[in-house]
Amino acid sequence: MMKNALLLALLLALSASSFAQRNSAAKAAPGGGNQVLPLASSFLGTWEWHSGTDVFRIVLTRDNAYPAPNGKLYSVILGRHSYAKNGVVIEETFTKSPSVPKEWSLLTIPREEWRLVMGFMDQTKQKSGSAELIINPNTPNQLSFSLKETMGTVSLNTPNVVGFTIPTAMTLTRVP
Amino acid sequence: MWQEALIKTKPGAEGYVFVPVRPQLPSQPYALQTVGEKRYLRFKRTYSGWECSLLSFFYRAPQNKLRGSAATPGMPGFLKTYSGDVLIGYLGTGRVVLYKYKNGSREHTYGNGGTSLRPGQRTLTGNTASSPQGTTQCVEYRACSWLLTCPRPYSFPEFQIVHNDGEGTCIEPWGTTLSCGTETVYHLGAWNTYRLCDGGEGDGDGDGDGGDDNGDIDPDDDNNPPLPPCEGMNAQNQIPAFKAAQNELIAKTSGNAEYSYAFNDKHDFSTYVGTPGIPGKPVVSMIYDKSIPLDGISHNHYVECLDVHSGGDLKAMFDIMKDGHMRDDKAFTSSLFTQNGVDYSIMITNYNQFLNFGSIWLHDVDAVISLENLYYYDRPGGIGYKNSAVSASEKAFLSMLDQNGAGITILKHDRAADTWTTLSVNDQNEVVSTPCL
Repeated sequence: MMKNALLLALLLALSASSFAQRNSAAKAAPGGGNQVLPLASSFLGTWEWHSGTDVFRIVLTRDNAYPAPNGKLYSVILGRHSYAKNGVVIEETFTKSPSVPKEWSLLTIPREEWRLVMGFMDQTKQKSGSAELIINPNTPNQLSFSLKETMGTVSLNTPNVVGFTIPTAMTLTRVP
Repeated sequence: MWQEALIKTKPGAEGYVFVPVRPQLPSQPYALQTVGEKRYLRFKRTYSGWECSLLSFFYRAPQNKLRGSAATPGMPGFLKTYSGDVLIGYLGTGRVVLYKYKNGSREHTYGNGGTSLRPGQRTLTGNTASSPQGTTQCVEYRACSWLLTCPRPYSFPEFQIVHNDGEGTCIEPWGTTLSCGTETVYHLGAWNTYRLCDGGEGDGDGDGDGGDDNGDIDPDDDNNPPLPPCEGMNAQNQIPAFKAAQNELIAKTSGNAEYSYAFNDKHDFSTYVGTPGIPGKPVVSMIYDKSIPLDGISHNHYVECLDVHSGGDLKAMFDIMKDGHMRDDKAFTSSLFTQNGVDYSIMITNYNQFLNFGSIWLHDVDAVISLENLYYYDRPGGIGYKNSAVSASEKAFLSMLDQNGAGITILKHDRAADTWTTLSVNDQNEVVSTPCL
């Protein structure tokens, strides 16, 4: 735990240093400057939701050197998911190749210890959403998952795609 | 082909000589074997001497998708009628810039703003060369310019200009890729050779400036300077149809859906295409006639939405630009009317910077997710922090654009006075307001 914390602190320091070098009039660094970000380690692992033969599964992992589009590295929590309806897998991202840059389907930089707001990519509808994941510290093996439209999703000359492929409100259980 | 050289001069001003370059001559220096279907060496006479550049015109669509056309194939008609892509390599410095031309006049600069080679304290062989003094052993390096593109079916324009250095040769910058990943195609543009020597330093100019360019193939044509944001916004504010759309959108901020207008330069309300969003969903679709270039877009945010433009809003403006649907990027506005009584309009004030910003953060949905993860989070300091005052979101938004060199100016609307003010952040990260007079 302490080792991870030191690693994260070192990463953040390096990131801030790199930014300062590139911008001589350094202001607030991306992502809130040099504030200490939580690890949100309770979220890491495998989680499942079952309803009859419908199964939603996510696996959340940490990547301490995730390259953002601007080329900088950030400590993020990444997720992959699968959704099976009536026993048939409707969509999943577990089998996506690691060489594909966008293999993940959930992504966030943790800002809170017990709540994550993650960008979510609906694989079937090819649209993004905003997923909110909450763990009650008193019930650390349960995870509340809700999904809503991303703020300001603007589509040009195409109707908005309404809704998501997966259920938008679920309570997941940790899979040992 | 010196016998076909075209000399153009203006009294008391700079002069130009255009020399067609025959392609694929075995004896050509490699620097001249730049991709392109029609090429000229351009000698520009300036007050300090001659500047030489190589212009490569793409009047077909080769693999890298650069393209263009000219109504008149021969000089000088070609230079006056050419529309399309021109890759200009400044042979004095190695700077390579991709320009877009319309009827012989430059429209915009692509790539990373024409980033120049910066050889620093090095000796440029064959250019501003002066031999290093007191050297004992020298190694020859090349400062190389690469044009990165994506093959089909990746969309145009997607390219980047990258500079790197190699010992004795140019080596593809494999570590830098576009969104097409390992399919990225590397085109060598031009290079400069320099030497580094033990015990001494070269004295290259080091400023890497490729030299100014008046922006035209044909120097008789004039540039259109960009409108200052205030001028553009004030002009738009006088258009009755814009005001009508504004008032309607403001009125609808109290509802539970977004509404949008896309409009073109005819400035009558019939060209304003309003679109309703989905009740209860912070989304809206902007429907417009793609055959008519747009002058701007406007939409509103209701109570659950952001106080400022979202990443999706920025992407919409970027998409309209890169898809060629903007009539004039210098005058285009994306206006936002919010439930908090605060309205903003954003305008592109540096095309190259915005193109670069968009190519990083707005080119696809995944990039926008990353942008919103980094900056739009619902915590103190985040643009999307719900518990913050509007001014905090505004400042976070301004800082994000400033940090990323987005090339966008934000204007804020005073509803009571119906006036607009430009906003910026200073070096102390304070918001600075400058009223439009």
